[in-house]
Amino acid sequence: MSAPITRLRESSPLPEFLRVVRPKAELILSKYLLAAPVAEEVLHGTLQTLVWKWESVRDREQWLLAVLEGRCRVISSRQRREARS
Amino acid sequence: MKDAGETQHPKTADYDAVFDRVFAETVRYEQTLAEERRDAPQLLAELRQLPFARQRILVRNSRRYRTWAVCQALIDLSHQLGFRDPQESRDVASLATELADRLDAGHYGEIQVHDMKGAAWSQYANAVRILSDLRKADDAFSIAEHFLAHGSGDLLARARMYDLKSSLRLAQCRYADAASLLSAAVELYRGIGDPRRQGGALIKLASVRDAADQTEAAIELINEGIKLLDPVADRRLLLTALHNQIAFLSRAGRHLAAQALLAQTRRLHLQFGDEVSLLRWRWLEGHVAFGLGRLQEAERAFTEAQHGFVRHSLGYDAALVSLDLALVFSRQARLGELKQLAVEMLPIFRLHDLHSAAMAALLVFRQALEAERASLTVIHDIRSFLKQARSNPRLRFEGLSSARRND
Repeated sequence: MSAPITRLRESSPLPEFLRVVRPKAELILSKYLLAAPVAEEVLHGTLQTLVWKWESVRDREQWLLAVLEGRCRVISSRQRREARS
Repeated sequence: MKDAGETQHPKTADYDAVFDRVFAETVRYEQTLAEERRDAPQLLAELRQLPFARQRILVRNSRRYRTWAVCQALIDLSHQLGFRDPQESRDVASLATELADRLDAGHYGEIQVHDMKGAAWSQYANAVRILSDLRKADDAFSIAEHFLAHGSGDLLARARMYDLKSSLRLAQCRYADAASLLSAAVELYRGIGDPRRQGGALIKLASVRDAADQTEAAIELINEGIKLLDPVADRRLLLTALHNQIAFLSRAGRHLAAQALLAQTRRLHLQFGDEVSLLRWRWLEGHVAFGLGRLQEAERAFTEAQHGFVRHSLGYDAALVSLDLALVFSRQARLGELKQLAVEMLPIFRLHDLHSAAMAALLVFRQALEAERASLTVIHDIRSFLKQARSNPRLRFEGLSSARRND
């Protein structure tokens, strides 16, 4: 990661939030070597859910990164299983 | 599509384009959703003016109401109705499941619709659990789990489902299952950086441990949970947790610590407690006094609480505090007053929220008194049955363990 990321305040508007989380989200997608179309689907779904739950999620950055990591892990292990069989 | 199993790392440029596209879509999506959210209260108000059957027809047939925001509003409304109007809460949740079933996956995305179905079914499961239909609640939780497993992987929704399901397991007296669900919820809340909800789950876990007679573990958990709460935003939960903390200390025989905490938090309770919670506070004072052997003080507190609960038609609380009063009389061998109390308890047990098995327990208690066999163990047996029966009215009273031991 090139520059330190400022921790988000609860009231950050969406575009600013997206700008700040982008490098961390990118790191997660890269870590699991997801192909771009798969990464797009995962990122899209996760962000849509976050937008829906914006008010009830208390630490949006941590929620996003945890959910993204969880989904990448599931997809990656499924792909590994499929590749083996 | 490129195989993600390949070792070749996706190019940064690929991700750049992905992020640009998805972020632009997300911002547009937020605007659409804002419009839906703006319209939802009006649509909900329109819907709620109608008889329930008509609401169901509209949800099934009118596209106007079939929005994510209306569905979420129904789930929230059902949650708010909760214990206040359990049947209404169930009906509203059932409407939410029907609406979620008809959300347009093409518009909202398939996994988002699964999330919403999972949330609606979790709420419905909890509503029927409150109505003591435990089998239906179990089935509904299975449906909720299925949808959440095919959803976006939202950890908050999963934690909430575990949290709600633990109440069902508690009502079924499946304490180990309730504890493992709550432990999982605690970890999920920790993972998404939500210490306040984590604290709430720890406090609930403490109650499960206490119900399973693991009072020392309950004390540790509740101490940990209280530290995570926000004293202002979570004031109500904090008051309940402090109350439980004192009760656990008292049950663990740490009466002096319970008394000290009682004194420290009295002002807070007097300042913020409503009438019923003040009655429960008075009841707690009775317990601590009883533990310290101050029987007169305990008797006064239990009697005041008993009268208050009867006034508020809180049948189980009135019955339980009456049994506490019985313990005071029994400790002092005041058999005449015990018999009189048993007579006075009959109308209390007839209050609307007590079921027939509770009445059977009272009859056993009265018979034991007549035969002058009403020991402390008998009272404890009936008390512990009533505590379980409160959350599971289908529980049957199977007689006294003390009697069975004597067989």
